[in-house]
This record gives sequence, C-alpha cells and structure tokens, in this order.
Amino acid sequence: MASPIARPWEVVLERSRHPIVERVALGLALSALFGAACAARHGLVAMLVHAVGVPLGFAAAAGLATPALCIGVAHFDLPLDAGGVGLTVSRAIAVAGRVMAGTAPAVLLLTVSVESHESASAVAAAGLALGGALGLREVVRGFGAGQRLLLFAFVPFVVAITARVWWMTLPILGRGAP
Amino acid sequence: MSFYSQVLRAPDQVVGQCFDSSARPSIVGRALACITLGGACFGFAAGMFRGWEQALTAAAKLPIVTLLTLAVAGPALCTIARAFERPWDFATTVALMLAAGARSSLVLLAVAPALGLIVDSGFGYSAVRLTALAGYSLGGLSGLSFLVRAFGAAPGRSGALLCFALVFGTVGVQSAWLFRPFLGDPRDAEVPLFAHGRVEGGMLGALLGARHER
Repeated sequence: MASPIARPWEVVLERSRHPIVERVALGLALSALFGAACAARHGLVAMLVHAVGVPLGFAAAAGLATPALCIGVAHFDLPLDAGGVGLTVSRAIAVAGRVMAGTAPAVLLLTVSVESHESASAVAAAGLALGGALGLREVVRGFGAGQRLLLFAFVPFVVAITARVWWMTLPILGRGAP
Repeated sequence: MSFYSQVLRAPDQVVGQCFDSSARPSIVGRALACITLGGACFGFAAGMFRGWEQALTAAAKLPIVTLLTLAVAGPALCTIARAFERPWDFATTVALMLAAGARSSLVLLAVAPALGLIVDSGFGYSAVRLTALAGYSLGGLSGLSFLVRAFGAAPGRSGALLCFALVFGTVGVQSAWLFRPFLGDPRDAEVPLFAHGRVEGGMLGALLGARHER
C-alpha cells in the first residue's frame, strides 16, 4: 500500500533550477554517511577516508560511463535525450545514496560489533552492492526499450569501474585500515 | 476488534491504519506493549533452561534485542521502500515496522509455553537452542507476512522484501549475538550477563558448536 507523501527536500528538488546537480550532490553526500559508518571500526581517519571513497566510486562511474553510453547510443543511431540521460543518472545516484544512508545504522552496528575484520569487510561490501544495485535498477528503468540492449554492455562497465574505484579507495574492502 | 486481534486476524486493516496519522499513536503504543510482553515471555521460557535468574535476565534482554533491531533497520526499510516506488514517510515506516514486530511478538507469546514445556521436559542444550531458534523464526515469518501486505501488489514487492529481509535478518542475528547468552551454555559454571570477550565465530560458529576463549 503506497501513499504519495512528498518529502520537504523532494519538493525543493522539484522546484530546483538545477535538479541534476542537486540530486547528484544529495546522493553523494548521503553515500558519504555510509562510507563513514562502514569504517567506524577503524577510527576517525578511516571514517574520513571512506566517506570520500564511497561517493568517489559513484562520481567516477557516472563521469566515465555516461559519456561512453551516450557515444554508444549515438553510434547505433538510436534516439538520445542528453538531458534525460543526465536526469536518469542523477536519480540513480540519489536512490543509491538514499538507500546507503538508510542502511548506514545497520552497517555501523554490524561492522563495529562483528568479531573478524573479514566479516566487517563482507558487511561493507554487501551494503555497497545493495546501494549500487538499486541505483543501477533506476538507470535500467529510465532507459527505453531500444536503448536497454546497450545496457548489457553499460551495466558490467559501470559495475567494473565502481568496484575498481572502491577497491582502490576503501581499505576496509581488503587492504586493512589506513 | 482490538488491535491485538486485528493485527493477527485482519493485518490489512492495520496496514491501512498505519498510513493514517491520527491512528498511529495508538498503534505504536500497543505494538510496543506486544513486543515487550511477547519478547519477555519467550525470553523467560528460554532462560528457564538455567534457572530463575537466567530466566529473568533473558526476559529483560529479548525485548531490547527486538527493539534495537527495529530501530537500526527502520531507516533501511524507509529508503528501500522509496527505492521501490513506495513513498512512505518515516512515521508510516515506524508504525508499519512496530505493527509487524507486534504480530511476530504475539506469535512468540504463543510459542513461549511450548518452549517452556521442552525446557521443563529435560531436553538437552542443542534441542532447546534449536527449538528457540525455530520459534523465533516462526515469529519472524509472521512479521514478514505483515510487511508483504504493506508492500502491496504493485511491481517491486519481491525485490523490496528481499533487500529488506537481508538487512533485517543480518541486523537481527547480530543484535541477538551481542546480547547473548539467553539460554546459558551448560559449560559455564555461572552464566555471565553478557558474553563479551569471547571469540566464538559469530552466530554461525555458535550454531555449529564452536567455542574458543580469548
């Protein structure tokens, strides 16, 4: 059962003159909360490093993969609305950030209280995967049927870039605390 | 029909009331009462395995575990629901979670005498532990069925439930693990209030019977 209740910040976004920029900023800021929560086990410096690293993964994926997708769409002479692509990607980042902020309390409890570092890494990875997957779902929903075929190449590309950036910037994923 | 009867017999009506801001305060109050009573009775029955003192301790700890889990997983439910096109506000989400918790706690209340009977019949630690786990899982499934109704029939229900069950299940298991022991390990001469400091390999390790002292 759903009820269409608008939140104050969503009303602000609807009235905004730069909805793409604000959605991206909101998503990145919320995902930084998740980053800080997942590294609380290792102290303040680690929290700061992870609070930068998590949004960096999304920023890199959006910044590198979106132009590639647009080129791919143009190459196959499919119709493309650049503004629409921007809106879809910004909405995906906002959804991912919101889900990650929602799971941040759970991740904080789990990473701080589990016995082994490996378990903490697994929890952090699962949280990143959940947020990322729901963000990608938003991208897939936002594209038309003709462009969805290209997403078979786009989605693995985005996953690979994001995973690579997170692997390099988030020590909790396996390289130990900073 | 009272809330207690309604949440078991007609959960769809309770789901509807959770979206009504004027009905929410009474739902929240009654749900908290159910969670406290159901958890306390179930904890008491489990703790009887090691006597009255442990029974009272477990009765106090189990409702706290449930409420901690609900509090920590609440924001996740809200954001996951919104990601799957269920635009619930936070107050609605809290009411829905507490009502689901109330439904599962009423099941725990019903299962508590059966657990007490097994404890009283002299079954071993493993049998009592597995029975308690089965009873708690039964309560969890009942709460989950409430959330299934809350998510409605619109597309995305399975995905939302799967994502939330992953978060809620993990948090619930870890919260219970943090507040252990509930039964009291027979190898302990005196059951500690909390088992902090022990490395036992997490919930999975405990279920498999591993135990190491730090």
